[in-house]
Amino acid sequence: MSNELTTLRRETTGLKMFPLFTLAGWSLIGFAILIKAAFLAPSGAIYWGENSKAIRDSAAAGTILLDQLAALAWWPRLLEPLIFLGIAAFIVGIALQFSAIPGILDRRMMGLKKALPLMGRRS
Amino acid sequence: MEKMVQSMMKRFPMIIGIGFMLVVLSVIIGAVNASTAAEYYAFEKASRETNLELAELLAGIESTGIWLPYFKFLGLSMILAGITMALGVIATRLQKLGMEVMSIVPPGARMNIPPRPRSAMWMRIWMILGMMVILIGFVVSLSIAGTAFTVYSNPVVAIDSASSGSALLNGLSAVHSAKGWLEGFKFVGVAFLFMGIVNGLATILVALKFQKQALPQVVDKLPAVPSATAGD
Repeated sequence: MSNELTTLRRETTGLKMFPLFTLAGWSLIGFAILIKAAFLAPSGAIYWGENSKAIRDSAAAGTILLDQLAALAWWPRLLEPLIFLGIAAFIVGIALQFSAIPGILDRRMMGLKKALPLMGRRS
Repeated sequence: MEKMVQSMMKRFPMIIGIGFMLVVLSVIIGAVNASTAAEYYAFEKASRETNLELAELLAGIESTGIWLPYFKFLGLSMILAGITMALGVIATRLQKLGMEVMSIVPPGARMNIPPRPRSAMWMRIWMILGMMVILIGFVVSLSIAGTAFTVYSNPVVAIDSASSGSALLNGLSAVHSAKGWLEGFKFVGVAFLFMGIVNGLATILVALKFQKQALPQVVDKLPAVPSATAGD
């Protein structure tokens, strides 16, 4: 069997682009998980676990404690849309693959129209 | 009507593109909102709770936090609707393929193309319902975000000291109760869109099953073809 038939030929822009979207999806979601696990979780544990409410409430502007609070407010608000963009990128990748099918069906129709009259039993 | 639906279906790449752009736009808005939140929380608690300008920053942060998720879901729903439309185009193309192939087959070998299965109709219904639910959710979230902006424009001390029955507490209660029920719109809408995709795939399966059964029967009835050469 020829190689052409066993592998998916990337003949449309959609088929060329879908691995990029899938990769972007993995990268964005991976980045979000990494930041959450490596930075947000320990940072949150330190901020809320090692400082009493009185200390947290009385922190003055410019202190490390308020910098931590600002970071704890910043990252989740940024990461949530990024995770969503990652999921959207995966779905766009799927859509790009689906969008290649109508063109493939058109070519299949042309091939079938040429071949069908020759498919009768040999006399 | 059918022609209009078909021409709409063919525009699925545009719908997917717009949907993805909305999600990208929501990332940008989210980043701006995150910076505003970082700026707000860098101030000491006493200032955050009493300063009117800081209260307006908080109002922006809180109201964006209410409508932005629905905006993101609107983008995602457009991508899912685009996939459903692509499936619709594939199903129609399969039917057209069958009709065109049958048109070149001799009348004796021809088979009737079955009518479109019910799943094709359900695919469209679920897709439209899903988009409608998501759109309603987005519009309602904008209205709730407006209420949240009005409430949080007041300093935290004013909100905390508001008496029961006051406009401020009524607004706050509306915001908090809406957060509970509004969530349903996002997931019900997306579930409807997934139902549309499932029905689209079912339609394609019906068409492919018919082709699998019909092709050998048609070939069997085709007139005999003379051999190419005697030595074959």
